[in-house]
Amino acid sequence: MRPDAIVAGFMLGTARQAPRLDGALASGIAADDPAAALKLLALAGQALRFSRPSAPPAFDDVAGVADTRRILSPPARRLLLRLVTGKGGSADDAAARAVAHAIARLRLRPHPFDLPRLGGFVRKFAEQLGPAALEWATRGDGEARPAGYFDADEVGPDTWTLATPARKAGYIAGLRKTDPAHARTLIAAQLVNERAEARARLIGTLVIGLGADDRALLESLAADRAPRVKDIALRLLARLPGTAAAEARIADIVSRIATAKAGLLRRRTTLKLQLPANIREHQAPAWLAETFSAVGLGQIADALGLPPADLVEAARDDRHLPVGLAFAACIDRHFDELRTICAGPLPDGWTTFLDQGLEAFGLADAADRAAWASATLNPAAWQMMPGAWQAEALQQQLVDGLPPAVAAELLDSPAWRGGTQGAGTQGEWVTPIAALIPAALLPRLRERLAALPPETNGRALLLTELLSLLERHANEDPA
Amino acid sequence: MLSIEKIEALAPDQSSLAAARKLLKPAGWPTLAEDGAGLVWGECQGSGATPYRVALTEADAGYKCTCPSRKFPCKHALALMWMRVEATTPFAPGSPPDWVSDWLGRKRGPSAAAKPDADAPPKARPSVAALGEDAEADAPDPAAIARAAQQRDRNRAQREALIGEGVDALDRWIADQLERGLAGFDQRAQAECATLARRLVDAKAGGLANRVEQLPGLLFAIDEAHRGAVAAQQLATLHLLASAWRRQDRLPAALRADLRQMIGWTIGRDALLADPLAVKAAGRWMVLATVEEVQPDRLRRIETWLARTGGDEESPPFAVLIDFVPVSTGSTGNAFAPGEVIDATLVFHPSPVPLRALIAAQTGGSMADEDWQPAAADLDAAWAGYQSALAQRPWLGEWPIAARDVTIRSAGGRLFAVGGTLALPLAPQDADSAAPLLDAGVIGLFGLWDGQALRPKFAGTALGRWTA
Repeated sequence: MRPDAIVAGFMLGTARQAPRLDGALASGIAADDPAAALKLLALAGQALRFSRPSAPPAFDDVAGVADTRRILSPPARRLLLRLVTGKGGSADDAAARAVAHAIARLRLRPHPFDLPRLGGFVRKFAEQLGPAALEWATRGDGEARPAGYFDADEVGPDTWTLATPARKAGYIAGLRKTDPAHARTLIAAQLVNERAEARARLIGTLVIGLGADDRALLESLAADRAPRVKDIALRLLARLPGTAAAEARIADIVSRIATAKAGLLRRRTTLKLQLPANIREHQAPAWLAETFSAVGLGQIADALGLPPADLVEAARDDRHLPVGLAFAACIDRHFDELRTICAGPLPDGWTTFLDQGLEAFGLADAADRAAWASATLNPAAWQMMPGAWQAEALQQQLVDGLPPAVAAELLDSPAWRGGTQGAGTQGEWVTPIAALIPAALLPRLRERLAALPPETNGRALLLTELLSLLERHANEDPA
Repeated sequence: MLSIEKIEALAPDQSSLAAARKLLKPAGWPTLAEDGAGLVWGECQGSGATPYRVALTEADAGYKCTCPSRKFPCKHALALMWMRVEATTPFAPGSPPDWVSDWLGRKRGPSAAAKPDADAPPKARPSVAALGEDAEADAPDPAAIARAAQQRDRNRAQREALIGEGVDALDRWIADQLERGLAGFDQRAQAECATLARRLVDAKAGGLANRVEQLPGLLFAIDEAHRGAVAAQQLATLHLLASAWRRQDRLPAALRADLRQMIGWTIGRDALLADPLAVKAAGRWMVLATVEEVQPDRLRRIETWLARTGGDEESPPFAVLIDFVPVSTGSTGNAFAPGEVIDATLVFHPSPVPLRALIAAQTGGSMADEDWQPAAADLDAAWAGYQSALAQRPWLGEWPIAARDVTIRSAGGRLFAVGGTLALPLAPQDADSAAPLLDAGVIGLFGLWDGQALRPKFAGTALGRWTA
């Protein structure tokens, strides 16, 4: 008998089925041996341990992903693992976001052997870490993708409909900049296949190059069954001059602004915004954002018969109107007026934007966000460094980092120098703020970090070291 | 800077200082080095298979040691500080190895919480001067030594008898399981194995007890269709051990010594170094894998797998260093990392296939830059090596498989190591970590074969080194 047949014979139990003592293995066992079953088991078990495991009839054909990005250098691999895994590591904070963004910008990729260890980090930032990481992260998600789908670093006309909602929106946003009409046609065709979240993202891209030609599509979506989609469509419609929604929104805003004259020698116009009676103080920012993010500063100025600069000046003494005008200035990119507002009545205005998210004001691409940062952030005037939440939120909105001039100003600011000494602060801002500093200023950042207490600067120093390594590696000759 | 007064202030108690003083001999420290800027590190050979690694920053007396002691600082850290203060032992200049740099990278500044409580009642501080008083008490008493030896012999005979009863109980239990049938064994294994393990612990057969207690976990880790066959193989091995125990006088000396270790006899470091059966092998060894596992007896088993990369070609090609640390002390991690190379003399536990070893003397170590490739052998040759080892040691456990020209391929949702005429299935729990090897082409692979599946641990590939 074969060893596996002998073992199978023991499954039912020797009480029911006595072991058969025939064959080569049982040849040395006497039939009346009281330990016959044990001996037979030992021999069969041992024989099985000698046998070669059976091979499958055929192996899968696995086509690898053609990833042309450069693999991280060994020192960078070690630092990345330490930064996003293990003790004190995090795969989803400002440092991790900054590293993922740098890897994407420099066209690098994690070593394939590190993907399982980097687990959460790869899943979170797969789209930035290259095709191989994306293929690894989407394994087993049930989506069928055509051969070669992952080979291209960016999605294209043939593959964008198979991508994740964020990648789809990214592709359409890029197309809107060069060919808005074609992008709109693609959106209209794809909407029926998408869930609410993806529909909202796609419609949100219409803010780029928004024009009268988009009106028909937006009006068709104004009755969408998903409230979020409907809301976005109505907001965009309100930005189109001449639409009923836009006229109504402007009329509503103007009706709430009271005009007066002030000053004894030199009479000047002053404006005051009357909030709706049912809006309490803590609800004001949200109401202002909702109301003023649908119209541009120029439209309000036209309706009030004032140049934009005069409008800002007239509103400076009001408690709420500068906030609303700051939001509206973002909508039609009146960044000079925005700078005036933030330098004057609204020094911490940037935090109000973060509460709503910059997308709400149509700041979709890196250039717009950099212009917003230059207009709103004035670190030299800060009394103290931002809190942990504000710093994290700022970094989340500015993944490309601060404009160099703002970053340099920040590193030399009095607030940085006294940053960890204020009451109630333990330096939680250090890592997210360090993640905002652009590559060119990394040496200066390292000097500033070294001067901070060691219990606050560890992660930021690690991040700085890793970012420097990435920059150096990307600039080296591949040969 | 460090001083004797500072060491006294840091020492948790007088006994720590006394223990540290015994470690001041440089012979017990295979590595003592410094970077010239206040960073000092060393390796201290303790009673375990692997040396403890100690690092120290002189400026703030920060320290780190891999030993499982609950005292902070431990005797190893105190001894290193002490040697530094005495300045009679040379410290080799060098750049810090990875394990020191890694600690330094994670090290926090001095903690405010460490400051002594001014309101606490004063207590006697440990003192170096006080150590002189204890030294005379160490003189041995010949009569006491003789009494202890007699007592040991009595205990040994008593234990032999108890183990004999234990293995008889084990055989009865296996026969009982066969009578009831192995088809449902997995369902009743938890309770039945726990009962038998307690009986074997009472019989002083700790090795057998651990093996029995681990059986249910082993079965539940595999798919249901194969549990019956695996249970049969495990029970067969247990019966082999029981039968061999009864006939141990007729076994070759090395196999008998191996058997006794499997049953639960332990052999101390000094006894092993003096054992004529123990193979000694000097050479260059590369760390290929570290494995940590918590045993049912609440000990953490830490295995360090080494491959010989230089030295005597006749000596064993692989070795495993095994240390046990109580789980309650918290995870200490392994002192070695895959890829490290050590120059050392290993002494192997007596066995027909020497594998388990400890470091008898270490002369150096570093992180290897080169990639590892197994000695010229394909998967078929490695399999033949496994079969040969199994023939010589029938209760063989995990066995190192190392082969060149291996590819990792998938079929039916499982991964296989394919080479020559063989396809070894990889353990399902390693599928995620080994998946990148699917694209790595032809590799040199090291893994541990447990009789059912291969656990890949280390690979040399065109993309560099892969570790599990």
